[in-house]
Amino acid sequence: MAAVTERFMHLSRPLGPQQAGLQSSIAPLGVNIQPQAILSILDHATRRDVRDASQPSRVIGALVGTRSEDGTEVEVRSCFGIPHTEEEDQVEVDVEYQKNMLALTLKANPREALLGWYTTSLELNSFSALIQNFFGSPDTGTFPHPAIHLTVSTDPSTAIETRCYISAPVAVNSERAAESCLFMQVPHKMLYGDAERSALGAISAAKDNENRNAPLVSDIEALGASIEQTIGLLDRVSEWVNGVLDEDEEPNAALAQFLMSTLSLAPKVDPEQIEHDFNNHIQDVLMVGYLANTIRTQIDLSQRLATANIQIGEKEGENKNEGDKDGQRGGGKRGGRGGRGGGRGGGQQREPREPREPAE
Amino acid sequence: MTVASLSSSGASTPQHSRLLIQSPYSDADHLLDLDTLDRENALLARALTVMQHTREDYATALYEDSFNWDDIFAELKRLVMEEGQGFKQTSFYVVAFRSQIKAETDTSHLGALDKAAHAEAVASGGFLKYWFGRPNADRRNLATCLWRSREDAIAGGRGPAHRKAAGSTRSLYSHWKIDQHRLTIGENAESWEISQAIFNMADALKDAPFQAVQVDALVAVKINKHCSSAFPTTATGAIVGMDQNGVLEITNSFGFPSTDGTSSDSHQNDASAAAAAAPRQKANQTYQSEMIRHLKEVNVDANNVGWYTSATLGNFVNMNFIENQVHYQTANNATVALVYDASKSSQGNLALRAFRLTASFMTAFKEGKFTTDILQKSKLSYKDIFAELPVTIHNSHLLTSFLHQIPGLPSEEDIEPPVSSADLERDQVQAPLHPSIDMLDLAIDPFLEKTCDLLLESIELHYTDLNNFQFYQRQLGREQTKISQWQAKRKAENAQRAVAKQAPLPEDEWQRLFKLPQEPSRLEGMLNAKQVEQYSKQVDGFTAGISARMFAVRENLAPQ
Repeated sequence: MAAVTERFMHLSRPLGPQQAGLQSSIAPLGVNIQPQAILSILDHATRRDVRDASQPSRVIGALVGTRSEDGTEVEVRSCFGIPHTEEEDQVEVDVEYQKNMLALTLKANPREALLGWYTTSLELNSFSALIQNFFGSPDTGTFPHPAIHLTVSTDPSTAIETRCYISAPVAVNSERAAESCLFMQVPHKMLYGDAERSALGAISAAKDNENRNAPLVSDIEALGASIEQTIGLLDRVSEWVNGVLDEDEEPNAALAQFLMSTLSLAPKVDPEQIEHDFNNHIQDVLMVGYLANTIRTQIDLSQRLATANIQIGEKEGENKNEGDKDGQRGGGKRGGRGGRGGGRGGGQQREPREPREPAE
Repeated sequence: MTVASLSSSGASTPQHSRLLIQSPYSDADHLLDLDTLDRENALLARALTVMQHTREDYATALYEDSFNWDDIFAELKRLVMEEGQGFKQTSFYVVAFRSQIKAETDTSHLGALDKAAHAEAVASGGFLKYWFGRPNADRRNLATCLWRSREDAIAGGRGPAHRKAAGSTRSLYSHWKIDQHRLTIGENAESWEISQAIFNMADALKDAPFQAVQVDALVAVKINKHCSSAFPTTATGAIVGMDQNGVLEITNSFGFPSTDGTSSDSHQNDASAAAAAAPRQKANQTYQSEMIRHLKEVNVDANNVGWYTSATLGNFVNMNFIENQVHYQTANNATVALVYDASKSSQGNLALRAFRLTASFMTAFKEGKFTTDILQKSKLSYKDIFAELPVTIHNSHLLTSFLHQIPGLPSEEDIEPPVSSADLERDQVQAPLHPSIDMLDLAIDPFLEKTCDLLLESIELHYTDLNNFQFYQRQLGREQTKISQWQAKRKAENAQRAVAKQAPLPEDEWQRLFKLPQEPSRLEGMLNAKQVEQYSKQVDGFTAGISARMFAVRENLAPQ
């Protein structure tokens, strides 16, 4: 997984500020991040304001998603950027913007809620604490649930690293409570479902291209690529096995065991049975293809006849009517016996389409 | 270094004059201003003054063989040497117009048309060379233009004079063909190549402000997520981005609010219908502009470029789709509709397609009439309703570096052998995202079945449509019989009155007395035909894939 986090001891969640009568859970917290959230963050990072050199290179934004019922698992589904400025001693976050944007986002996805915030540098500083307290506060934030803070390193020279935190209030005195907090790391992982695989696959196809572009390929091309890759892998395994047999490679019991159990999964079937099933099925498939194309031809013909300028006989309207009937008879037969209708329809004279206007 | 010695002989081109005669016309407004061009283009334009045909059958011969390219490039090399600033690799756009003129055409008229169009094209810029031959005995001819780029060529063809000339093409020529080539000249003019440029959809898209769509990875994933989580209900949303150099870059997207959050199964159809109509709704338009205004603050391209919708096995060709796209395309011509096929994508290959309505369809739709007469005149067929644009995926640098961290193909190097099978269990190999192994799935029958169901539905629709039309035909026939009866009666009456020396009764009163039925719109039928075409192509795709897989399985299980 992309977001393999370093191994660390995950203790129970720290207690938030206790409000009267509210007992918040102290169960450990797990964070699942969906790829679109990460992509959104990376996109935002590339769109930061570079005109003003005094501004920090990091950007911040809010995380939106769902919580499990007991609040121990959260899923970050989307996020949006928030404009902010940082100066020597003060940080300004566009609170109004955050409020409006959150309302807009939730309007489209009513089941989601504000979860926390992200920033695009790994650094935690006193501004982080200030913003964290803003996002965790009862009025504007996620209280009674803890606000999650996700940091994504976007330094071009290093690998992209993600870390996830929650916080506990800590301060030497009450005046300073607003600008300090204790960040505690929590485990997180990037999750993607089967539905997202196709999009991620298409994106990954571009990763080795220098121009970072990849055309969307047709199914059959993708199939070709998959088959080639599988054959490559199989070749590699058989090469290794041969190597072991020729005593070139070090044998490995675990791998052999794994291969044996995999090979035993292959079904044992009668070759005749296969031949039979195969022929049946392929005929069905080809038939469907044939019929679908017949139907297309029929409809095409019907459309052409409907607008064709037929100049036999005296009245145009009647001829048109006839043409239509023919097309319809063919189409109405569900393609199966449609060939006849088509033959008859084709007998009518139809005007060949004139070439289109020149392109330039 | 024979090239250097040649430089003294090159007196044919005026060295430092700004204006260049680039065509057989030499009037002031037909001259090319070299100051409007960059160095490479100006150099080529100057070199092209030596262009000549090398064979007499140029009207039918191969384009590359018809001209003295070697001389042109020798001249170009010389000019490059002389200037001494080198030549960057550049490609140019070449149009060859091959025609056969009708025997009865008046050529002087043709010349005037051509000249006006040429002056206009020169004024629009980037027009490097114009050459035309003489019609041969067979009345065939070749004319060719060299342009800085395809965009310039398109811009040059937008003026009224070019339109007029192009419009009369049909009446003047009995046959014509436009070939497009790409001329690429290598570094320092050392090499050159003329290739057949492939502008597949150039015909349908000649008026489109862009020829391809580039989708950011973020958008692909966002649309994918939104549509597949809403599946099987339709999901729609807006996309933002900008068009640049003939490519529409889509950089962000957001979904429209779903109409009701608690859509139970029985209301699924309502919810789908509401979502399908969402892009046109007032509330959503406000939502969209509000959202774009907010996105602008975080430097997202704040420019709406269309909308997206989800589909199941290509069933998106319907009135909703057309109306949505008309809505967007009327407001801003540079918009596109992205269609994400949730069912097809689940087979492992992302099915994201981009469509826009053709200009001819837009005009027809604005007039709102799809009667047989109009369709006959405009030659609009169901194939011209919309055009598909090629889609590419684009990743940012950051994302590329991120992608290299997620599992790819197993590494080529030697791997540490596992110690026990428990090791293998624990560190299972992650399947790479690309090429996807989902593609090897054999269970395709459900998709085929579903497509067949959809196809049958379309036939049903087609049948209804035809019934409607036939009903109209019958009614029309009946009314017409009545009218002609009435007319005959009136005529007879008038004849009698003429005999009796009375003033004849008016003969056109039938227009008030009888009302002809309205012809039903043929649009539904056209859309349906397009839909059927869509389905059958899809079935073709399925068939191709599944038969390949089946043969593979047979070979595997029952080796010969």
